[in-house]
Amino acid sequence: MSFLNLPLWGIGAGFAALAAGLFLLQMLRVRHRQIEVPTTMFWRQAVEESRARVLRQRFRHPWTYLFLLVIAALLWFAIAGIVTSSREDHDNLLILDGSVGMSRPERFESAVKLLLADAAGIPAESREVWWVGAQTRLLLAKGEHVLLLSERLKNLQPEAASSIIEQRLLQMALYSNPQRPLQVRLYGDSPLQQAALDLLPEHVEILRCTPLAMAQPSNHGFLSGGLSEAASGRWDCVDLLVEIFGSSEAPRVTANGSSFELAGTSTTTATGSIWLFVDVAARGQILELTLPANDSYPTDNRLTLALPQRRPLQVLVSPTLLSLFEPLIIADSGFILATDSPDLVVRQQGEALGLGLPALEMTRAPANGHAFEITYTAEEDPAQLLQQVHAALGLAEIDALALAQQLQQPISLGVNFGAIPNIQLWQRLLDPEGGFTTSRSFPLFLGRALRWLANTESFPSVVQTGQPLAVANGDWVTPNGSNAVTANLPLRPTEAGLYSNRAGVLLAAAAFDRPASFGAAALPDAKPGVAINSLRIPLWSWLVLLALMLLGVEWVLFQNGRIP
Amino acid sequence: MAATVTADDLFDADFLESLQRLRLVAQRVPRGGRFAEQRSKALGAGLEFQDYRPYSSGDDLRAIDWNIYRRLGKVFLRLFEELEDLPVYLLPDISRSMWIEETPRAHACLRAAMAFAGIALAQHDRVGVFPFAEDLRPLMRPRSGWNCLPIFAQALAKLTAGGATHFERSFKRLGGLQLRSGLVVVISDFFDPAGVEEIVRALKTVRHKLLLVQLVRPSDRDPQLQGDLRLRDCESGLDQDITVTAQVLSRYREAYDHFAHNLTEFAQKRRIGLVQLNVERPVVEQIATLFEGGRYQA
Repeated sequence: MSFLNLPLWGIGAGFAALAAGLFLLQMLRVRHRQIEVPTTMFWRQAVEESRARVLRQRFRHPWTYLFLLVIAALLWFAIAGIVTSSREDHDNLLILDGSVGMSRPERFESAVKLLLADAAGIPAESREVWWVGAQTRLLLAKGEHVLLLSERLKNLQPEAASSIIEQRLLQMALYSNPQRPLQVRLYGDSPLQQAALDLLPEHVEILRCTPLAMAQPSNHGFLSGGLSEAASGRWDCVDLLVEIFGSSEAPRVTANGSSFELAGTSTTTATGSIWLFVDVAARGQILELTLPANDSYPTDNRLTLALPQRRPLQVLVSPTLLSLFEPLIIADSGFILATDSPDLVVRQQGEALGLGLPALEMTRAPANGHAFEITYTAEEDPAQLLQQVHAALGLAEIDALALAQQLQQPISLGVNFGAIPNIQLWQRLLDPEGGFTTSRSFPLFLGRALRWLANTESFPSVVQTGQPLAVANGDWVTPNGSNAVTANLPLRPTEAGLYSNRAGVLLAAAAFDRPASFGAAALPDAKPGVAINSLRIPLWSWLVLLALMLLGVEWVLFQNGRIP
Repeated sequence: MAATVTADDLFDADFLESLQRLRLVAQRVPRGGRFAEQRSKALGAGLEFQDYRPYSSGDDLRAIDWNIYRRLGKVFLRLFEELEDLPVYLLPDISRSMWIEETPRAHACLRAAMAFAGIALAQHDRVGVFPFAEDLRPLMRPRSGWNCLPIFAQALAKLTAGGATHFERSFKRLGGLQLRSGLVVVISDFFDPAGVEEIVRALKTVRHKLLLVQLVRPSDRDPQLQGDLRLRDCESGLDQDITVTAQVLSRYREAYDHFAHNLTEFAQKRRIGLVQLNVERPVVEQIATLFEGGRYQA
């Protein structure tokens, strides 16, 4: 039974009904206990009058009724859970940390216990309770009863997500009323950087109300991990780097659930080791790296990485250009010379080869044209695109001044919008006397140009919860199957697991939490909080106590014969 | 209704032994009794010298005081106090109120009656038993002799509960019996529905010496009652609804004290004995308090 949804008048009406019921009971005829006595002559003199046998009788015991009424009222209001409307001189923001660091044994349970106790001790009108896990959500609004909080906390568990408390704390602090002090009480182990604390307004005070963490005598785990393009230059491979805390053993690796042999080299560090695995074939497989689970914090013993899909591109080259491009294409492991079903084509302008495919075309040099003419398909800002393409194609590596002097013509880059991606460059640039084809930048330009035409996306080196991914746009599905809300912003994974998009790209987000892995509890950030509830006793307890005292008084009076 | 007392309960050796040292002493019993141990108003051939009177013909020559004759030349007779018996009339209350409750007052009443009978018979006095309730009736006419004690016990044990207490009628009946003046021992709770004033008025009509034995229990003045009650008077059968409160209890005690005060005042004015026996304690010990130095001056 709960009166939480009952308005004040409802509670008042309930009390009135209680009072009326007690009154009626008082008015009912007394059922006497019959006793035979030697004589009643003294009693006859003691009582004023004999009472008629009627259903209703006059109101005889006002003090008894008053006693009963007060006791019933106290119990009624205690059950109703009324709270005082006294407001504190500051607002209280209680934040429960739901990040992966709280999944250490009993950390979350301890924090919840403290939170509940503190929330009960703070006037409802001046406190809010927020959950900050993978997402941020309000657990208890101002004025709501603390019983709701315990109900809402019932099924909550720490989420596989890195802490985003710093960001949320800054947002909440900035939106708070600067005229009223705000005390933020943090229930969790997430670290707060001094730089973040310095950004908080002056009226905001941060207190950490986390119980002392138990020591983690034997923990090892992954502190970080990521991918990079293969240093060897192999297009179809990636390099893999993981940082391990507390262990120098190689992690066990599986790919798509099957055992996967991976040879790596390790470097011992002060806290553990760093493992490097080079030239790992990137075929879109899911790599699972695990450490032995016999430690105190098993959450960080597993790391999942999604390798990119690096399929070699099929390139159709015009026979007239084959002598120049064939050696370069063969030398790049990311390309295959193709005759049928190519992905893109290299041809002369006007040549009927691979029509409809993205193409790298050689053109005659018009008097007023650009040396590099890029046709793009996406609706983007041309100026911005120009900069992007300049970097993406490696044009910055070209000695454009020497080339221009050699050709006696300015070298320029231009972009225009079209239906099919296309890169046109002057045929003259390929002349041996121009020096471009013999320069070290030409293979780089060719590789990047062909990959830009094939629209091969790069992959993020590290995918970590809470960190935005600039390269991954589009509609993403989160590990729990829901659509990630990005609002046209880069995806920011909120929880650990596999993210996928319509194109079939997979990303494995990890929830690295260095403090949790280190087992650090005493973090030099916020001031330690003091438990609020130690001196506060809820009003209902006082009411029940008072009712019990009155019951005791009534019992004494009854025993003394003062009341019937 | 509680069980009655058996003759064996009343006639037990230890109980009677404890009575041996107690004596009822009358100031002067009226003449006309049998020779016994009480001083009487009759003058004759007793042991205690009482007076002289002039000789007249026919007087016993053995009573002439020859020393006086030698000094005065006149013949005087020496008169001695006659020792006669004291009639003791036991009036046990057998009204209904004496027979209810956990320890019926009737038990103490009969043991007290037996005690007084034992004391009187031991000193050769005559003892009669006249139980009363609505009216008085002779159970045993006055008789003497220690050997009668078992008969008293059997007679008392046969008593059963009567009706309502009626002092006025009972004592009027007692007066009509034309008994020789003696000691009337009233053993009762004195709960007469007519009230204490009627009791006092009835007692005033008694032309005998009186000894009142009031049977009480602590709860008479401090009843352990609480809540809403319907009290039924065991004698009148009338109901009285009460709600026990501090005020009601206070007024109850006032009423009881008034009752006790009237009875005591009457006893003091008439210089008659009044002893309160707690029915929940042994009877003889309490009766003994009445006997200063083992004697009670009736």
